[in-house]
Amino acid sequence: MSSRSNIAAIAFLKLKRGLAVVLLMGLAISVLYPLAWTVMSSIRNPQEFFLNPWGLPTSINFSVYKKVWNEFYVGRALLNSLTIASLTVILSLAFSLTASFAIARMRWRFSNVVLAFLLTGLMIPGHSTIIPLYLTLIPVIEAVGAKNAILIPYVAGTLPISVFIISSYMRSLPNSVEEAAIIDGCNIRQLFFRIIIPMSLPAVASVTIFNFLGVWNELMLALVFLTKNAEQTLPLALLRFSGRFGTQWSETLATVSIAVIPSILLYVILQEKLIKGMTAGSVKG
Amino acid sequence: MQKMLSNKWVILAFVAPAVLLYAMVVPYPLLKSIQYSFYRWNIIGTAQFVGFQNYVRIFTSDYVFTTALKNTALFTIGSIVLQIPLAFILAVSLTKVTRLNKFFKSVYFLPCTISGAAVSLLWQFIYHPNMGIINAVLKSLGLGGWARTWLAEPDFALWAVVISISWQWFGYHMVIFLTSLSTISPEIFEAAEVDGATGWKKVWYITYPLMKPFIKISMILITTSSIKAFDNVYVLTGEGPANSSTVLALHMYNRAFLQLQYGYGAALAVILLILCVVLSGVLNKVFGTKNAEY
Amino acid sequence: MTIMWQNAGVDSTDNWMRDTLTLFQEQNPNVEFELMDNTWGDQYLTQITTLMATGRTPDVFATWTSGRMEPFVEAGRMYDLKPLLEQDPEFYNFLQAGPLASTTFDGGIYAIPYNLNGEFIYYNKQVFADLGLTVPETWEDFLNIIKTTKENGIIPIALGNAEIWTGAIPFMMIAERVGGLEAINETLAGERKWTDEIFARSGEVLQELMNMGAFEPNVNGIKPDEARSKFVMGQAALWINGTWEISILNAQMGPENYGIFSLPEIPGGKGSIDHHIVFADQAYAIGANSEHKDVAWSLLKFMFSQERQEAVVRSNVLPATKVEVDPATADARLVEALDLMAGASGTMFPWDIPLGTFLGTELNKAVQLLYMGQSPASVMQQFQRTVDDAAF
Repeated sequence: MSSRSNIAAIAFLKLKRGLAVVLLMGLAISVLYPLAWTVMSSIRNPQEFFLNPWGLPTSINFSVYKKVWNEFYVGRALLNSLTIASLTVILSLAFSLTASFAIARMRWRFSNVVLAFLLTGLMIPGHSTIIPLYLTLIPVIEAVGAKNAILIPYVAGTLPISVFIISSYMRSLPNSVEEAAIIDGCNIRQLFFRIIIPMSLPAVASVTIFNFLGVWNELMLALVFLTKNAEQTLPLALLRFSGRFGTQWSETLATVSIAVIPSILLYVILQEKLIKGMTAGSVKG
Repeated sequence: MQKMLSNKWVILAFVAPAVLLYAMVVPYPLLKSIQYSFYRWNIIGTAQFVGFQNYVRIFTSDYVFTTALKNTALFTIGSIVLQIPLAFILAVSLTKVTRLNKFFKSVYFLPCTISGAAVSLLWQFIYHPNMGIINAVLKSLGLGGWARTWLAEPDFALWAVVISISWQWFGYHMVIFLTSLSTISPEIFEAAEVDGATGWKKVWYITYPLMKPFIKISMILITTSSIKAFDNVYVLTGEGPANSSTVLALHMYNRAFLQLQYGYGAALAVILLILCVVLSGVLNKVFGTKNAEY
Repeated sequence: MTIMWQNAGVDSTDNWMRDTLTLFQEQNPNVEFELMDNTWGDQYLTQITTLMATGRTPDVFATWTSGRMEPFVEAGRMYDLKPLLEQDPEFYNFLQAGPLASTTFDGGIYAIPYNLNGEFIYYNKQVFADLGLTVPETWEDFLNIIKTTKENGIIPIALGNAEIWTGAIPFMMIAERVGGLEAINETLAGERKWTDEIFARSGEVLQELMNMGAFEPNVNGIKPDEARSKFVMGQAALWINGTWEISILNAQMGPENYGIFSLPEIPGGKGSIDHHIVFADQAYAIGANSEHKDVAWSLLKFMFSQERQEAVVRSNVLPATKVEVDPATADARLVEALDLMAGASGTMFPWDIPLGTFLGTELNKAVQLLYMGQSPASVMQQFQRTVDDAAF
C-alpha cells in the first residue's frame, strides 16, 4: 500500500472522528443550553424575563432563592421529597432484589407466572386507579399519616420495573456463578448477598436512579395523597407558583433548579459504579 | 445445587414480600376501576349502573377518542424512532473511555433528572412564537417564513411533545445500553476482529444481537410509558389546540377528573390497559424472550 | 381544623386569607389550622373531588358556584348554612342576594360567595391618547378602534387563548349583543338549541373581527399573562378579561393608566351595552361531616365581617357582601367596575359555570375552533351533538 493512500486513510479517519465529535458536541449543547437557561432565568431580573429571554442576564439576583426557601417552604418540600424518595428506593430494592433472585436464579414452577403478575404493573395507567387506591388506603392514612402511607403505592409502583430490570440482568449472568459458589461452599444466603448482589450492581444502579427519579418527580399520587401544605413534595411545591394570574417564572425556575441538584448528585455518584465497571470491559474490545 | 436453588421456603421468603405488597396495591384498585367502567359516576355522587354504555359511547360518539387513539400510536412510534437509534449509536460510540466521553455521558443523562412537568415548562419557551429559541434561530438563518406558533399548530403540537419527551429520555436509554454493553465480554469482539469484522459491521453483527434483550427493555419502557403519557402533554399543549394533541391518558384524566365522568374515564382506562398488554405482548414476540448466547 | 382554598398565584386573595386566619387565631388562640392552599384550577378540582369522594372533606374550603358546585351539593358533602344564617339576620342581610343565589340549591344555602366578578374590556389610556381614540359608544366606534390601532402597528385586542376560557369571553359578549340575554339564558337552560342562528351569527362576527386583524394571528398559542403584559406595555390597546385583573393591572401599570368599558351594541342585535357578564366565582363552604362546625361557622362569620370585607375592598377585589365602598378612598378602577355593574339592566354568568365542568369545557373548546377559522355553523352543530350526547 502506498504511503499516500495511507495518509488519505488517516485523514479520512480523523475527519470522521472530528465530525463525530462535532455532532456529539452539538447534541450536548442542545441539552445544556436549555438547562443553563433555566438557572440563568431564575436569577434574571423578572422584568427582563419576557424581553430578553435567551441572552445572558444583565444583572444577577439571587434573592429569589432566598424567597422560595423562606416564604414558600421549598426547604420543607425538599426534605419531604428526600425522605420519601430515599425510603422508596431502599424499600423497593429490598423487595425487588429478593424477588428477582428467586425469579431469575432459583428453580421453581411458577417463577414466570409471578414475574408476569408483577409486570402487569408496567401497563396500568396510574391515574385510572387513584380513586380506588385512595379509598383502600384511607385506614392506613389515618393510622400513620399520608406521608408514610404514600410509601405503599410508591414502593409497589416501582416493583414492576425494578423486578423487570434486575431479573433480566440476573438472568444474563452465566450459570457457572452458582456452580463456582457451591464448590466454594456458599449457602444460599451467601450466594445472594456475597455473589449475586455485587454482580448485579449495574442493574441496581439503573433501578435506583430510575426509581428515585420517578418518585422525585411524581405528581399525581402526591396531589391526591399529600393535600396538606406541611406534607407536600417538590413537584407540588412547584404548583404554588402557577395560578389564575399566570406563572411566577423566576420562582418556578429557581425551584426547578433546586430540585435537580439531588438527582444529579445521585447520578454522579452511581455513574462511577455504573460505567467504571462496564467500560473497563469494553475498552479492550 | 439443584436442591439449594429449589428450596421452597427460601423461594417463599424471597418472593412473598414483593408479591404481597404488590397485590395489596395494584390488582384490587384495578378490578375496582374495571367495575366503575360499567357505571355512570361523577366521583362524589352515587354511582349508577349503565352496563356497556360507556364503551358504546367511546366507540360511537366520542369524537376525541379517535384522535387520542391515533395520537397515542403516533406518540409511541415517534418516541421509539427518535430515541432508540440515537441512544444506541451514542452508547456504541461512547464506549471508549476518554475524558470527553465521560462528559458526554453525564450531559446526555441530565434532562431525565428533571420532572416531565418542568421539562415541558422549559419547552414552552423553546417553542414560544415570539420569544422562543426555535423561531429566533430560524429568523437569524433568514428562514423567518418558517417560524410558527408551534404549539398552536394542529399538525405539529403532538410532535412538539414527542420531541421534548425524546430530548428528556434519550440519555436514559443510552445509559441502559451502556450498562448492557458492559456485559459483553471483550473476547467476543476480539474473536470477531480475527474473523475480519470491523467498525459498524462489528456493531451490526455482534453488538446489536447481544444487546437485543436491552433494546427490548427500552422498547417496552418507551411503549408502556408512551401509552400512559400524560404529564408532558398536559403541561406543554394541554391537549390543544382543539384536542389535536390529546392522547388516551390525558383524555381519560380530563373526562374522569376535570369533567367529572369517572365511569367513562375508567372505561377509557380499561381500553388503555388492554392496549398496553397487547402491545407489550407483541414486542415480546418480536424481540423474543431468549437472550442471545455466544 | 383543616382549611383549603385555591391558590391563585400572585394574588391578593391569598394574602387576605392568610391575614384573616392570623387575626382569627389571635382572637381564638385554641384554634389550630392545617392549611391546604397549594393548588389552583384543575389540580384543586382533582384534590377536592377526591377528598369529597372519600368523605375526607376539609372543615372549611373554597368551592366554585352554580353548575360547578352542584355535584358537591348533590352528593351531600356540603353543610347547609341556611339555618345558621336565619338565626343571624344581621349577618344574613350583610350578604348580597345575587351572589348567594348561585350557591343556593333546593332552598339550602351551601356556601358564602367571596367575590363578585365582571368581565369587561380594558383599554390602555396611553394608547388611546396617542391615537386620539375614545371609549366606544357604538359598534362603529369599536370597529374604528380596531382599524386605527391595527394601522398604527398596535395589537387591537390582547388575548391569550392558550387558555381557552379567555377566548370564550369575547364570544359570549358578542353573542349577547347579537341574540340578547333572554335567548342565551334559554339556551343555557336547555330550552333552545346551540344550533340557533344567533350563535352561528356571533361566530361570524368574531371571525370578521379576526379577519380585520383584531387579534394576533397566533392567538391560540399565547398565554393570558403574556397577552396581559402586551397590554400593560402598550403593545396592545385592549384586553378582555375579568375584574379580578384589577389588582394585578394596578400593580403592573397603575390604576391611572387604564380604563374599563362594556362592548357596544351590534346593529340589528337584541343585546344591550348594559348587559354584563357578572358572577360569583369562589365561595366558602363547611364540610358536611366536619367535626368543628362551630369554629368553622365563626371563621366564616369572621371572613365575612365588616372588618375583613373592608380588607377585601382594600385588596382591590369586588366584594360579594354589602360592605360600603367609598368612592373617595377605594381604588378608582374598582369603583368604575362597580358602577358599570350597578348600572346593569341584566346580567349573565360566563356560560361554562352554569353548564358545569363537562359541557363548560366542551363549549370553550368549541369556541377555540372558531378562532382556528372553522365554520361557525358546523362548530355549533358539533357542540349541540355533544350536549345531546351528555344528556343520555
